[in-house]
Amino acid sequence: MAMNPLIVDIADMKASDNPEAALITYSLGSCLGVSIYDPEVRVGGLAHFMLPLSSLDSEKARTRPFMYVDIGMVLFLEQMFRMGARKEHCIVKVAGGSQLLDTNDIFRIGQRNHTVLRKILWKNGMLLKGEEVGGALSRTMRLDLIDGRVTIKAHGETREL
Amino acid sequence: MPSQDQASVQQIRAEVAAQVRAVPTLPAMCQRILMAINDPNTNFDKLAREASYDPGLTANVLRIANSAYFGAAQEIGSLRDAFVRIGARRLFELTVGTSVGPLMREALPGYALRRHELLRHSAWTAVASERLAAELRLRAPDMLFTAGLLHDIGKIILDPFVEAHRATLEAAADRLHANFEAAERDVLGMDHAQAGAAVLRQWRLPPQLVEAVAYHHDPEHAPAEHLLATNIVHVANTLAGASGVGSGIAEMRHSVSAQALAALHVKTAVVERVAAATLETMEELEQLLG
Repeated sequence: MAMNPLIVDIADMKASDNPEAALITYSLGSCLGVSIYDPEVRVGGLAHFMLPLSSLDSEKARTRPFMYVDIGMVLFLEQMFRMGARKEHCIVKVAGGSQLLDTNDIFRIGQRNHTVLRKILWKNGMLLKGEEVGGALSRTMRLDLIDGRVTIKAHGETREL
Repeated sequence: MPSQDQASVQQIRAEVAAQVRAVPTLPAMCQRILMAINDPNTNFDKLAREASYDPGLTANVLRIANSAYFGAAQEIGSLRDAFVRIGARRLFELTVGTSVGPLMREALPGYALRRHELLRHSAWTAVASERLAAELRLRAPDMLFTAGLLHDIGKIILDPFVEAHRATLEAAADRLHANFEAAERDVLGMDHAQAGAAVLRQWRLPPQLVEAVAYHHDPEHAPAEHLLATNIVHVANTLAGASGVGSGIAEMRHSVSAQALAALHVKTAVVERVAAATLETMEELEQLLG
């Protein structure tokens, strides 16, 4: 791969229509990494959401929408459609949503994130094509725009999603 | 029963103690300000004059004092100003922060922490500790920011040992089905919290900092007078780990103390608001401390 991957920070999203580009996000604990790719137009994006619902703080939802799965996912899809992606072609994959070892209801952020994502996709009539969520591990997620391949790295092992 | 033989653990202990002794000392100004906190007759002019012999430190402290997070309403132009406006306690915290920040910048290969990751995790925990106290409407315990900032300083000490025994540690964590600290104690004879407390004692930092660091993974056993600070740092650290901020090799192998959560009356909405608020201030703080 010629280009260095673009890094997607926590509470951020990046999209590209450059087939040479790769997008990567690190340390997905309870956060969710979501990739969207349209193989027809070779447009793709990667988001790193932190918390499930923007109703927690409407001010932050405006200034930093990609902090939240609900509003961030809606904006992510809009961005993809603006770049020429079509809903029926979009391949959506998700990773992260981990739980702490001794989990406690108060810290079930990962599970809540995942539930909200599924709801939004369902509302939009979209399906998940791949997912690796849960467990007590932290993952790195990468999307290559040349072929839409999504790779997950965790515990020193890399696998395709 | 420890899985490592006693002789090997004894040897590691001795080597760790040598590493602790080799940690750079804090600038003399930290102890001077600490003395000023406890002495109502402190001559701040004299103290500010002494500090001016270390212009680099002074400049860094003023930069942080004027940051959005530590938020002085009016520009603070001198240390004398800082004493008056933010107080000796806050000034102490800023001086420690700016002195220790560079130590936490480097990558820790044993813990699988990239460059800046420990600093990010530490600053995140420091801010989250203060936010959590505010969110719970608690009077923040003394030097809470610094307790959060220094909680993982022991990782700097243990990193070469973790690197050397990494496979054994991972296996121990899996075998014990336990958090990574338990594996450290099993294989290395101590965990990073204990190693960190040893560093703080060597730096002659006050007991509220030493104890909060020593018990940040084990708040149930913290001395009663430091329990509140320890509980807060524990929950803030857990939240940082859950959010994937600088968790490294331990990843999500953290345990949450049900007792700490109950004592603080923490609710889901509280931790989520703290997480969101903490992220907001991180970029600025990381740059200032790094």
